[in-house]
Order: sequence, then structure tokens, then C-alpha cells
Amino acid sequence: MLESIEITKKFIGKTAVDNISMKLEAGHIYALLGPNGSGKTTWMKMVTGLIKPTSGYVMYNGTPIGIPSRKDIAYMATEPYFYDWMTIEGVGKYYQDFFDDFSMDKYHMMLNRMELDRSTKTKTLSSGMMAKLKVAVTMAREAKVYLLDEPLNGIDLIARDDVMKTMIENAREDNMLIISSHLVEELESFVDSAIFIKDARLAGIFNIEELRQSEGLSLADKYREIFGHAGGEY
Amino acid sequence: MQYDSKIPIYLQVVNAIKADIVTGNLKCGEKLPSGRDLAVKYTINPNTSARVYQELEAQGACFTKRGMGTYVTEDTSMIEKFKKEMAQNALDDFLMSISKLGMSKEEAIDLLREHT
Amino acid sequence: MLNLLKYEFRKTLGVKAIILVLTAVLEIVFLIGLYGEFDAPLGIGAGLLFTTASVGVIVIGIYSIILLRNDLNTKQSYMLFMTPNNSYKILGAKVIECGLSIFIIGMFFTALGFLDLMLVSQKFGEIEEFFEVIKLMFSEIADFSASTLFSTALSVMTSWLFSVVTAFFAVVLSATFLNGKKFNGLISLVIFIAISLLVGYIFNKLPFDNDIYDMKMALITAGFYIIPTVLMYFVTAWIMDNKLSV
Repeated sequence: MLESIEITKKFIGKTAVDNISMKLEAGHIYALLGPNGSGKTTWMKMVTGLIKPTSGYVMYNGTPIGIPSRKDIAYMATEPYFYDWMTIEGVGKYYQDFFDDFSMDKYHMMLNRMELDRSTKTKTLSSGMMAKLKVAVTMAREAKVYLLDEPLNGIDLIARDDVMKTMIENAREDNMLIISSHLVEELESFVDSAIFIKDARLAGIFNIEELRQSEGLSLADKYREIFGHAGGEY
Repeated sequence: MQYDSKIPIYLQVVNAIKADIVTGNLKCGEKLPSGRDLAVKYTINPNTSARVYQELEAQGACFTKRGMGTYVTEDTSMIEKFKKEMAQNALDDFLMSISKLGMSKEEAIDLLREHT
Repeated sequence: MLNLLKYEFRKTLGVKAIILVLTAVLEIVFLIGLYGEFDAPLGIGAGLLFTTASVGVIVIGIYSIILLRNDLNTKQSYMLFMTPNNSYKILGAKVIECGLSIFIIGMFFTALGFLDLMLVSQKFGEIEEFFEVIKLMFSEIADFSASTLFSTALSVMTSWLFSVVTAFFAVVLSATFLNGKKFNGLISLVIFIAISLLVGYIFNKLPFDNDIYDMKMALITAGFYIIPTVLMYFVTAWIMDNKLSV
């Protein structure tokens, strides 16, 4: 279980995350939604321990996150972050060297399905191929928490299908996926809960099937309700 | 599959599978995919798959063999029942559209006869 | 830790390969000059070899500093900091890699220089005389022998490693507390110079007999510089673990 407790991050002249408290449970796929710059990435990086909060903290299974929790928490950044000299195979070897839960077989299987050539240098990859590689190498870990920052951003339809399949395939009872996006429709069918972040603050967590059943609202409707221009008419 | 995002996803998948049973895309007694495979096939949450099978089972469209998986019902009368049910739904939709146009049921039947 | 070291080594492979290839080419030029009895290549080769040796060790140190800067300030920082390794290991791998490289390359150049000098004197048949002249030249200030030569090389390398670790400290400080602020590069340079001056000042205040530079003095220098190097390493790693955001 992941618990964010009154976590806040202030940068010079800007509060990126403002007092966010929430409990997230295993067995769910969460969508982390909000416009660009609303604080999703900063929140994810604090959970990974890449960014130190100004105040508040994150608990993972009852202990504050730190170096040991990185064994269970897998983070995938939006931007490419591999070393320039690495090949796709080399990226896998790097993960194998550092993460006990990484499976090379699983990685190779995903590469084959996504039609990625192991000997390709990462710096020559197109954005769609890079997106697939990042998801493959991250999901080839048997982590307990997956934090995927904008995995569907800027890629074509076919790559998107591959990425979504890979994420769904690896969702289990004992793990959780947190997928950030500023595009709502593509997540709509397979996430079960939505976390809305508005202006660095938590604007609500909703079970999406419940929204549809009890209010007849789609995720996109709820998004508009929360982020739309108040009272604006077009 | 294209979803209507305002309607619960599990209901839409239930209807899609029932349609496959009625049209014969899924045969009587055929094994259905595991929950995970179903999730991947329909791009839905694995929790939703579980709910889909629960609902299908409750409606008598499929049954579970313990430790073996989920299978399409072998009861052909069930399949007839689903066919009728779906035809009924299609007619409801049709008549709804017709009445919106201000036509009576009789006019609609005449139109249907003329339609080739 | 071994894995971290492996990747640190991989990151610096390119620059080392360049230095080694350059050295090999210059050595060939030097040898052609020596045995073909062409004066110009002999002189140029020898001169450039000496330059490559001095600059090479410095380049390796500076390259380590640039690498750390990239590993803290670019997206590639995630590669290091998302792994379950604490900063004592991450920074430790960098210090060990840099120290080992400086040591191995430094010793390599020292040995190569020694060898080349021997070849020169052997070629001109006056090996004993050559060393006599050198000894005479340096007898006023130092005790010239192979052991002094190597221990001096060791002390130079140790103090250079100290400078590199001080630079690591300054870079981490700047990335941690001055990220995005104006003049952060300048401030870290000032921090670096201040610490270097302070440690140099303390060293000069120590009650050692500095008149004759011998093996003992070289080893004392090496031993002295290890202390602030280790200290700086622990402080830097602590800051990285507790305060740094990448």
C-alpha cells in the first residue's frame, strides 16, 4: 500500500505539489490526471525518491520510502533517460544488473511482440519505439508499484495498442499501476480509478465504473467538470 | 472495441460476448479466455473481466469448471433466449427513433415492408 | 557496487581510448625518431608524449567531474537514482573509478617515461652517465631514484584525486542547493577554490621538514591528502542521499 501524507514540494517561486494526501491500494490501475504542469510528475518523482519533498512524506507498506523501497517501486519517466551508448539489449542488461525483480525472458518476449530489434542503439529510436522500449523494460520488472509518466504521449495508434496491452497484462492483485496522462480518452477503458490533480492539489479520487453506473458520467465528463472553465459556455 | 464511455464497460463487454455467442462466433461449450487474456483482448481492467464473467454466469451465458476456466453455455435454449432479447433491444431502438420522427408504429411497419 | 563500477568504467571508456590511441601514435613517432635517427620526430614525439601524460591524467579527472554533473543534472540521472543503491555506493563507484583510472594511467605514463628515458640513454650508450647527470642536477632539492620518482607520482595523483573529489562536492552542492539559480556554476567554482586553498594552507602549516623532497616527504603528502578526500566523500554522499533532488 502506498500512502502520500501531506506531501508538498516547493520550487523557487512555484508550489509544484501542494499538501497531497491519499492512500492507494494494490490490485488497481490508477489514472493520474491533470493538465500539463499540474504536479503529476513531481508527485511521482517524490514517490520514487528522486525528488525530496519540502514537507510531508510517502509511506510504502508502513515505512517511509527510501533506498530499499526502490526495489519494489518502478518508475518510468516521460523523457528518454537511457545512456546514449546503450543498445536495446544493453538497457535490459542494465536493469538486470540493478533490479532483482527484472526478468530478461519477459523483456525479450515483449521486445519480440513489439517488433523492437535488440541491437538497435537507443539514441536512434523514433518516439514510438522509445515509448515501447520504456514500457517494456519497466514492466519486465516484477514490481509492486509501477509509476508510468505519460506512457501514451506522442505515439501512433499501433504503438499505443502495444503499450496498453503490456500494461494491462502486468496488472495483478498484488501490484498497482499509476499511469499519468493529460489525455483522458485513451485510459478510459482500462483504468479503474482516477486521481485528479488540479493546480498542485488533489481534486478527488473516483471509481470510474461507479461514475458511469451511478451518475452516467464518463471519465472525460468528470475531467471537464473538474478542469473546465467555471460557468463558461460555448 | 469502441466503447460508449458513459455506460459501464463491463455491461458493454457482456453484451459483446453475448452477441458473439448468438452469432456463433463463440460456439456452445467453447472455452473462454482467462480473465487476464480477456482484459488484454478488450483493453479493459482485469477487475472488470472478473465482473464480466460473474455477470455472464449470472445470466446463464457461461459456466465455470473449477480450476479449468470459463466455458460458453451448452444450453441452446439460452442462446435462443439471448437472440430474442437482442432482437427486442434492436426493435426498441428502432421504434424509439421512429417515434422521434413523429411516425406511428403502423407507418413504420409499412416502411419496413417497402424496404428492400 | 561492482555493477556501478562497471558502468562508471563504461562511461569513461571513450575518453580513455582517445588518450591511449594518442599515446600509442606518439610513442611510435618517438621510436621512429629514436631508431631512425631523425631528430625532429624524436623531439616532437618526446615533447608531445610528456604533454599527453600530464594532460591525460588531468583530462580523466575533469571528465569525471563533467560526468557527475551530467548524472545529476540531466534525465540520465534517473538511471542512477532509481536503482536501489545509496549515494555512498553511487559516489563511491565514481571516486574509485576515477582514483583507479588516475592511478593506473598515471603509473602507466610514469613507467613509459622511465622506459623511454632508458631507451634514449641506451641508444646513446651512456646510461650510467645520464642518471649521474640527473642526480647531480636534482641533488640540491631532491633525492633522485626510481622509488622517489614513483612515490612522487603517487603523491601528485593523490592530491589530484583530492581536487576531483572537492570538485564533486562543489558540483553536488550546486545541484542540491543552487539548482536553477543564477551564478551557480561560478559559486561552485568559488567553493572549489576556497576548499583547495584551505587544505593547501593547512598542509603548509604542518611541521614537516620540507627542505629535501624525498620518498618520505612524497608519502606524507599522499597520506595527508587522503584525509580530506575521504571526509569530502562522506559529506557529499550524505547530501546526495538526504537533500538532493534530481
